[in-house]
Amino acid sequence: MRPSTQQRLHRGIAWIILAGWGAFTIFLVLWVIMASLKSTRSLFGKPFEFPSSPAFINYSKVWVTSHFGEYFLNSLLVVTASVIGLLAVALPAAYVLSRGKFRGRKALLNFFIFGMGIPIPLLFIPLVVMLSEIGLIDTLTGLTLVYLSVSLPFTIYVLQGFFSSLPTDLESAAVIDGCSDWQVFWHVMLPLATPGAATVAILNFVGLWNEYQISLVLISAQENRTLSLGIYSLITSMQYSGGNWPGLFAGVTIVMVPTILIYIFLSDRMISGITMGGVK
Amino acid sequence: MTRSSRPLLSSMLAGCALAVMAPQAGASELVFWSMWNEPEPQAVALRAIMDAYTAKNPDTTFSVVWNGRGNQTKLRAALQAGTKVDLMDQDGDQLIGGLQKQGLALQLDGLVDADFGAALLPGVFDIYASEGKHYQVPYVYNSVNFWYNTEMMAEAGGQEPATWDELLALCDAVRKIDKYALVVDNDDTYALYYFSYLLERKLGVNALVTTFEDKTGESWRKPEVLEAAQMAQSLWGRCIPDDARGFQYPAGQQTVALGDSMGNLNGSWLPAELSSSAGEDFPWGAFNFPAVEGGAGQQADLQVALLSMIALESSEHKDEAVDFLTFLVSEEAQKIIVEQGSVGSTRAGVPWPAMLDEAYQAATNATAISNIYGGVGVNYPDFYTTVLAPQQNKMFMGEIEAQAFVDTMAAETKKYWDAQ
Amino acid sequence: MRRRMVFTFLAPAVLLYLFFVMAPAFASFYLSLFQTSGFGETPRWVGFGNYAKLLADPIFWLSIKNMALILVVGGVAIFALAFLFTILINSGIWGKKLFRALIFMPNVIAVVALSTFWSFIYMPRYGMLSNLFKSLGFEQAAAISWTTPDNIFWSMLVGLVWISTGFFTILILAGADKIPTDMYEAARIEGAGPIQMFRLITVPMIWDVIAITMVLWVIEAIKMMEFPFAFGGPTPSQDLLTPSIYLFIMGFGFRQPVYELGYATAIGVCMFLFTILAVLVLTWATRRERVEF
Repeated sequence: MRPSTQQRLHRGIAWIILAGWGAFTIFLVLWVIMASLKSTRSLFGKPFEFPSSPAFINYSKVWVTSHFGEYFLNSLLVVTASVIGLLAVALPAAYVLSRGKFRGRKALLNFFIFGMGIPIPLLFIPLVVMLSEIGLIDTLTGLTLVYLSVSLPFTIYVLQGFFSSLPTDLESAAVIDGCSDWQVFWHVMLPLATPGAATVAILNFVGLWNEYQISLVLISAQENRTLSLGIYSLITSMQYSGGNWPGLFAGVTIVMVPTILIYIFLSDRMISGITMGGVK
Repeated sequence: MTRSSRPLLSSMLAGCALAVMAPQAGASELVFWSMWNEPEPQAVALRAIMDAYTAKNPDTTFSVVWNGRGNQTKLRAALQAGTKVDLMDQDGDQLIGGLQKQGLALQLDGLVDADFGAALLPGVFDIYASEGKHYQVPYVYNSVNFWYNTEMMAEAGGQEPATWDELLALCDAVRKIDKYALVVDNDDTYALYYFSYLLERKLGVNALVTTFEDKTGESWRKPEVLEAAQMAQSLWGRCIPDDARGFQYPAGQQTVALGDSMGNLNGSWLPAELSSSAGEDFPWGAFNFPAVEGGAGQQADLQVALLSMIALESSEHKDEAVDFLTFLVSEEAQKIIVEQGSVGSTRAGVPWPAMLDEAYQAATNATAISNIYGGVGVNYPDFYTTVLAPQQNKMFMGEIEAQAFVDTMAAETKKYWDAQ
Repeated sequence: MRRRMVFTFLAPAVLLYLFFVMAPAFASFYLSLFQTSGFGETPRWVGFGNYAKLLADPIFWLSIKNMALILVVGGVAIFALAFLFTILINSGIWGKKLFRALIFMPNVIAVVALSTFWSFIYMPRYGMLSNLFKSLGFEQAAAISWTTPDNIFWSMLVGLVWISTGFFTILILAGADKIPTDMYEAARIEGAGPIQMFRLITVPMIWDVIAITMVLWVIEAIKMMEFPFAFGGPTPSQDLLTPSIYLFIMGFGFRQPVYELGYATAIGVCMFLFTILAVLVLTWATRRERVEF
């Protein structure tokens, strides 16, 4: 059925509104990049003008002098390890919480879900004391374990919703065929879970990549810092040592670029997966 | 035993120990947690100082953690977990309410010379002492002055004011060249500069703290307090442009670097903070907060914020730590602080970087020094953060009347003390 | 499913969660019954004293008020926009996936970049809004100071809504995607306009999704800290205070640490209890028979 003129008009207006909103987002990203190439003086004097001589040196300064190169590696290491560990732990748990039939299943699930409501600052000091006692304070390993654990509530929530939305026939067929529970999980459910797992992996990657509060508390030594701690130290250095704002934006761009790239290539997957938890 | 014979005796003892015991290193490694981040100039200066110290004392090496500004807060958690730290640094006023109050800082009286403080600038060693006991060794000096563009002042035909009325006249002169003399950033703590200084000029040093410490709250109702509030408010429109109410840090102070405002009442870190926008040859000048007619305070009274280093009470290398603290304020080390850190030194007779020269004169000739922002935050951080700073900001920004501010403060002060 | 499998599959998750999340949380909850600076001196037992002090604390109630404003006003704005965008995107336009991606993008960018960007938009004299109005000739509008104490909360809220809308739009949109198009066709034949279709078809059918989305927003609004904190510069103004920020200032401080750890954790406990309460109320209020299709 061909769209009527009125429909065309509606669509046109819709397109304009959406394009306006979207354009603003693109403007944001471009502005951050542009700001990283300006001088501090022109950043504050004419914040929305294009720099006459782009200061690419800001990037090399931030990469080397401010150690962002090392921080990049640390972030990559910690976040990748956290996400892989998270999947290894959450997938089985979510499967059991969605498909299992045992007493207290619902209660246990709620137990995890309410964890989403715990304010993170509450955990700071006990975590420091605990990690110090087991010798993991100020280590990337300790940070990875904590990241993994605090991401469990949301991840399990999404994954169990995902598992619940999958049809049960395949499982039943496999069981009839004589597969053990373990084989059912490994050979049937896991492959089916790939879209959900991929989504949850991407979401957590992006979230942990930008995380700074926990790492601020658990990491002290400069060689252990992650990227967001690098940004944080650039900001706090402004007190007393002066504002290298374009340098800050260069750092922000370095932090931003991987997530935007992942986002552009995998946004479909990311978005379709969030809804799995909510839409049964 | 004199100080000079102590190292001799210790080396003799160490020599004996070495001879008697199996090979035991006499070396000690001092763990230093710092408020600086590794690339900052002050961190560079400190590293140079530590190297110089190790060159003189090869047995002492350093292991540094460059924590950044939340150093004391980080240290709190680490100490609870049993981490061994020997030295740390932070803003002196923050240390008083933190480690010092909790007895975690090493008391220095008896471990340093009786005339330790005399080698430093006036008031420096005593300002952060509690009940006469010294814990801190301030090693960076920040003073609060008016920092301004000397070329713009010359263009307006003005000169550094000695009294409040002269300051207002200067503002009028600057208006004539279509600029504003002063600018502020909308920030609770920065806004306190004017009111606290005015109060100190009227009632004397530490006036804000004394006013607060009156448990009945009635000191707030002194006429000078109301006048100080009104004088601060009178700056708007005449000295400070109205749109400055909306400047979020650091937009306001950047206007000085951009040449849109003449000056800013701020700490002596301001030229360093603005250096990348202002450029190397910005014509910086500084003058003290002017005197007020009939007031008890003098123009040479100075608000300061010093950065101090302390040794931890739990340190296992107390002697070495104290020795390093002494070295930190020696002439050699302080020269490094000035040259590589580009900040003010706390030792008398060590000139500051050229652009801070007028502040150096002010620090040398200071008749009295008081804590920054009036000093209430030092011992009463909860009242300061939740009541004083926000209320004063409201008054300064013109949201509440001066009389209402005074009444609120009187009531809140009484309420605070009643609850203690 | 055999018990052994249940056990092994659940064990790692449960252990990690208990050890790294629950145990510290309980330690904190316990700490809220004391008054301590956290520096290692013996904490002083005050029982529920911290909570009594909280209830009488005007600053705490100010932060609750701000949180409530964010929750309600922000929530209404976000959901209104989410519904609007759902209608618009689902009206058959070209580039649906592109717009979906663009709307979600701010969620991917670091908060410090977002808050700095917004402060440059609002900055007097040099900022974007000011210059935009000036170039259009609206001198008076150009002179409005968006970040003065009176306005700063609302300016922050605008930025916050803009950033958060994407996440919730996507959720609602995905739910709407599942509705078979024949329903819409049938309605269109009957002469229904887009808004009517949305109200009478979409909303009832995706009520589940809307309910869950609202729960997620409530949880986030109660915990809201990062954007208002970053927006406020080195010393966030009291107008921007949320309970999380108040907790942080009281326990960890920034420029002038207060070091009241027991009090700070009491704030955290209140926030947690409030979250549970709000989620329960919301779940009860939005319960409905699921519409099967």
